[in-house]
Amino acid sequence: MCATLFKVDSAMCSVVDVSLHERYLQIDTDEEVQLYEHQQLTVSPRLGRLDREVLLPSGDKLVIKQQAAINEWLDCHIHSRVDKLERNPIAIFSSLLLVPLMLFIVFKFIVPMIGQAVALATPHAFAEYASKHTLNVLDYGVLAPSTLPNSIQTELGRHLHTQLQRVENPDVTYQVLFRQGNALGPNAFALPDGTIIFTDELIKLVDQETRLLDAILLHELGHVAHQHSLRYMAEVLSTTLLLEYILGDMGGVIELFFGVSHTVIQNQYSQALETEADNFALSNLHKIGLDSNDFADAFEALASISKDEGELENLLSTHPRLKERIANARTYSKSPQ
Amino acid sequence: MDYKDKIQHYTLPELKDALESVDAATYPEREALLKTRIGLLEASQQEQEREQQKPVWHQVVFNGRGKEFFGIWIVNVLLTILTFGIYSAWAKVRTNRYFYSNTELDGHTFTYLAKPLQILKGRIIAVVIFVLYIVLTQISSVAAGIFIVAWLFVSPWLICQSIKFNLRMTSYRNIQFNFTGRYVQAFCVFIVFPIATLFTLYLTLPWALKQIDNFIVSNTKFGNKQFATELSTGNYFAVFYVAALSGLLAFTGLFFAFGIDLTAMFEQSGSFNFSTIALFAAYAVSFVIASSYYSAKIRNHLFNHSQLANLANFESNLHFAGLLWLRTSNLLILIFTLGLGLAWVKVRKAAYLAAHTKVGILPGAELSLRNELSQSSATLDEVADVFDVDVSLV
Ligand SMILES: [Zn+2]
Repeated sequence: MCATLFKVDSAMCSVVDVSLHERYLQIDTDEEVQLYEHQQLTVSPRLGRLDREVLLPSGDKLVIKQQAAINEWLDCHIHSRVDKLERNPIAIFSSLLLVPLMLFIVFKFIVPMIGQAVALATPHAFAEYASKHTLNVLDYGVLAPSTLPNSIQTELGRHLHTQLQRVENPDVTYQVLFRQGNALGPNAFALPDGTIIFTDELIKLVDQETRLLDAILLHELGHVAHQHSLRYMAEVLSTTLLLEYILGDMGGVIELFFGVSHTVIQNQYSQALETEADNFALSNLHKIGLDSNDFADAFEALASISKDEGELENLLSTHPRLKERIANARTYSKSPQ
Repeated sequence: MDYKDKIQHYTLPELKDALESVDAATYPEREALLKTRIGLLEASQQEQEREQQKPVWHQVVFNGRGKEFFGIWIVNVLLTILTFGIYSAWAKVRTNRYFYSNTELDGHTFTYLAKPLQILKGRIIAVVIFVLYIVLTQISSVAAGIFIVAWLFVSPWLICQSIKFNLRMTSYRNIQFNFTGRYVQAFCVFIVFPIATLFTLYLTLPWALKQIDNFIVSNTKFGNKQFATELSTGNYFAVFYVAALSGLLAFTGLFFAFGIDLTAMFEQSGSFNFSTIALFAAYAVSFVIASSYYSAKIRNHLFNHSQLANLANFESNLHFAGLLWLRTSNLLILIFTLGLGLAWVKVRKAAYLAAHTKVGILPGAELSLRNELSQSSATLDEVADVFDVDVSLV
């Protein structure tokens, strides 16, 4: 059969004749006959309809059009044959079904498992450093010192602290802080080391009603108890890397598509963690003498200041719909405990 | 024999010798004959040289097929997921080989030479750096700041390594490409100039972009031949501002067409609403318009003004409308196939770019080409191999 022989270190090439023997590959050039055994040759793996490329020991390169005989001879010692799968309609069709299924399993179960493993393995010192850093950044950027009267701060602080001790967790030392939320509005958030921050706006929104604040406090406790900050970070990080590797090299337009997919997946994790924190709160409410209706009331107070969200927006939101969270709390009270 | 007939058989050097030795006073007619003959021969020689200098234009052809590549792609994606990303290094090599080797010029195809383990090594380094950066930003502003400053100094080197790796792993007619860019120049082009444009409120950004393109192209080698390029700063400015302006116009138009309400957006922090989605759509559309215009015009300029001395000229004839349609339709394919059309999208793009690229090759060019990357000094190669790595996430 015909082949092209490229000389090493130059752009010159010539047409040669290749014949195959059981143990040798024979090349007939104008000047000489060359014989090569299998192990002397570096064969690039078969791919699509591409010409077969064979590197000779001298550095010369042989390029041969694909045909059954040469494929058979070149591939007889190669055991891993991805190209067989790539050409097999059954393999392609099952990949088409398996890829979405496996993606679902990976993103739904395996990535959260990684998140948990990372959170468990991370030393406590990291959580402390990270919390101090986050609080510094927030204080510098958005938050301002609380404008609540000192008396209210002390009173609420003392109350929340008593509640905290009732839902104790020996591993974490909790601390309650008040800040003016500014752009963050009525809000509460938990830092991984057990610091829980309430914004003045939130205190005003619930009209200092401790029952509602307690419910929100428990939700935040849920975030701390289940190490949500660390888990979320690990989840987002592994999602980024996985998506990059699955989608491969990207250019402008694909990048846009990637960005949206990433946001949607990331928000699903955030929503799952919010639900987990809600459920932690719901199962611990009885310890501080509240029930799930108090919890539902707290979220209704929050719902009163935000518009209702549709299905599409839900995909692009970091929090589950308030409506659903309230319904979840209301049904919780009815179910036997 | 008549003198006129006799000198017909003389070569040009012989004629010149004869002209010097001829006794012009005795034989003025001989001198005249010699002079005419020399003039004639010189003219025909120049004509021949010009003929040889005329490049033969070849259309770049892409032979890949969407259906075939889909099989390759989907199987490799599955293997990548099953190995939690590790196989992606092998997948990348197969994908690149598919695209390089299906790109044909003058009857020969390109070859991608990288080995999966080289890719894997680069990716592991990149992931470690990436995770380190994320962890640092979580615990300390100072540490993150130090990291960023260090990164400013390391990244030009990494960019050079990456370009070098990718070019060396590309060959055509068994001749490898190479990159000779040096750190200091890379540092200027990738760090200093872009930062400097900050002080001009990005107004001089086109100049900085030109410096980057110029740095990359003029430091690229094909075998022993260096690429040369003469880029026009004015052209970069014109293209950039037209692109930015059309993007801005499109965005403003869509902004009002969609009736985007910014106040509604800021009222609800943390959650999205119609305005946010419309804003994103407006951004996406104007980005595609601006980037298509810029890519088409700059690619044409870059190709049409670059050459390999005594070897090849290039021609790119992308149209803004054509590229815009390609990118828009590709985005729609991705959306409506939920990403599964990625294989088709990649093949369409490669076929489109190939169809708008021509290379003019000078006859006999292959005679003077040498592969400079010696494969003989094995020990030297092994040392270089440690640094021969493309540190990139993808
Ligand atoms: Zn929460």
